[in-house]
Amino acid sequence: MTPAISSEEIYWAGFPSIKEQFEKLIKRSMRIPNSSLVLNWGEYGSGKTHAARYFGKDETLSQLAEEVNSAKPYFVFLTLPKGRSPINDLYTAIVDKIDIDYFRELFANDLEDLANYINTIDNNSYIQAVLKAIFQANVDSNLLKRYLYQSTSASENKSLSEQGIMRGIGSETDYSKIIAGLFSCITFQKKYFSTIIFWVDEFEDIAIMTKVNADKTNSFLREIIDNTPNNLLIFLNLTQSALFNIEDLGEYISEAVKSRIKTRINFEIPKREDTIEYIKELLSFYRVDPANAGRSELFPYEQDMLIALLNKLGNAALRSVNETLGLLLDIAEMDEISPITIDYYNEHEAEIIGNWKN
Amino acid sequence: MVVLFDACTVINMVHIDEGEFLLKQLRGLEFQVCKTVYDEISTNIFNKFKYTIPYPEKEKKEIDVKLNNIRSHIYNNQHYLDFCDDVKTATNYSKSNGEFHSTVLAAYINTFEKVFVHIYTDDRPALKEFLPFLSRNQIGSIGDSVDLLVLLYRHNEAFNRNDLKKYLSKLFAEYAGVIAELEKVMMSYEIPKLLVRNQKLRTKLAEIKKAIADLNVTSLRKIYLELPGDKASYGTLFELLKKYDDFFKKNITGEYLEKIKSYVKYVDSEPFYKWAN
Repeated sequence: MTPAISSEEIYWAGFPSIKEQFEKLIKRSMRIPNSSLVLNWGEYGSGKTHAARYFGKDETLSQLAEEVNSAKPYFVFLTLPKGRSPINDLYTAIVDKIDIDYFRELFANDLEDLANYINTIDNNSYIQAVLKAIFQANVDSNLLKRYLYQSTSASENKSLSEQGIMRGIGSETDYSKIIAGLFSCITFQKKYFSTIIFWVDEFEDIAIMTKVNADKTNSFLREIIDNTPNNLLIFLNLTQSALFNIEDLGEYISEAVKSRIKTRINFEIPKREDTIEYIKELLSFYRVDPANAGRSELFPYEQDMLIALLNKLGNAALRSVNETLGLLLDIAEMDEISPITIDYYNEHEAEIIGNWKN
Repeated sequence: MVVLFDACTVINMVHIDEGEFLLKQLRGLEFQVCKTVYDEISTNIFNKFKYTIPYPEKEKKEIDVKLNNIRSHIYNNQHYLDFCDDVKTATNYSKSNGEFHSTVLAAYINTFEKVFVHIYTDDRPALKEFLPFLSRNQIGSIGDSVDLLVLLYRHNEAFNRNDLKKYLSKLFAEYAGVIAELEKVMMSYEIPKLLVRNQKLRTKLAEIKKAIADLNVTSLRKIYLELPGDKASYGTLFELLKKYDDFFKKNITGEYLEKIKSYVKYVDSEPFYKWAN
């Protein structure tokens, strides 16, 4: 069972303290300029990817922005690339998300101020020229997008020289500087976007990269942070896996990046009472007849049955709980049983949990 | 020194090589491969691209060129095959594969040329199987790609510590990448609704997850090989795992992965001896 993808199916249920930690960090980042890096640590199926999807929802971000009276954050969610050229892939994935025409329209009345700001971003006339071209309407946006993808011809590149873009994108430093500069521009004066939330999923895969690629990934991250001193909040999702343990962190994340980590959010194995609350809330989102008086909030599950099932599951990640309850529901539906009582569960325990518990 | 390579070691060296750096160093060893080994290399070297979309034509061409270089190292004198029955009896090994023929060739060369022969293979069961025979009879030694990389580092001035670390980590990534992908696939596998009452499938899935978590590649391979025996229960699971067939056939172990990882660390913490000219 993998996290929901469709926006209307993404709810936050239970675990108020984890939710609050994220909300605090995001709100703080919307209000104050400092950039920060946060690690989200937990087992498979503990809710890290779900958290990214929930906090990436337009509705969630607008709500948080309203609470602090700020512009909403600009959200970028990526999975750590695993190919031969992870930095190129990371850069391309970010460029994929850039809608040049949208930004041009948004910043149409701020061009002069923005251009002056760009002049202060980096003491590098080439990067400044690329950033200005992204926001100025006199360069064809398709041509510019292809330029960012490095798929323009030499003659097309030549046509960009009028804008001060005298060469092609040539190095991984260019990638990080362009991305960092773009992040800074998007959050200029926190006018249209208060902060950038850059959320990287499956960061544990850094452990299976070659040393060269792992070093490059660390450098890219460090350069993005260093070159975006303001309005950037990075979340790195890290999963305890066969090849990665939190104790190994130092082996894969460079000192330079580690020293920039401000907070760690732990997605712990949930306590029984927290799981029950989570189930209650989750079910409430799917009730077709929420007003049906007298019915348990845990319906179709009976509470003693749930307690017995959770005791049997022991230290299981949330995904395993979801999977088991989903299976129980499927079986009960086939047998036309409702509500699901402890007797029904006991009768089918071997079938539902058996010796496959994990 | 006579050096013989098994198919998996050559495949690893070719896959992790950058340009022809390793190939050049290997040529310096004047290695040999049996015809069976060469055939196994040709059959399996492109397996890793089987599911790559788009198919990496450029890489394939580069590998083709490297294979031509390996071809010239085939041991052409077939007389060594006369030793097969003797080695089969002495080792109690029943298969006629590349690692067996390499052991036979080692026995032959050692007997007639009176030299110690070094075999390199990453097939862990084969390594365990033939080590006693080679060692007890003073025919030679048997090592793996990690040992080979250390040897190349020590014998070549152009091969520095960073290179050693790089190639060891590339070797680790060759295996670890597959395990990480496999772990994600198994963790996100949802049992089809029609099979929710199939307990055998759930038990098997849990066994696979446990084997991955414990890095027990031997157990993982065993489970994989059992799956086709019960298609009704494990059909969907087998379809998913089939993609990793090449990995399972490599016969590596968790202990070997740990060895690679620890050697990467040794490069800095306990550097390998290299004579400083």
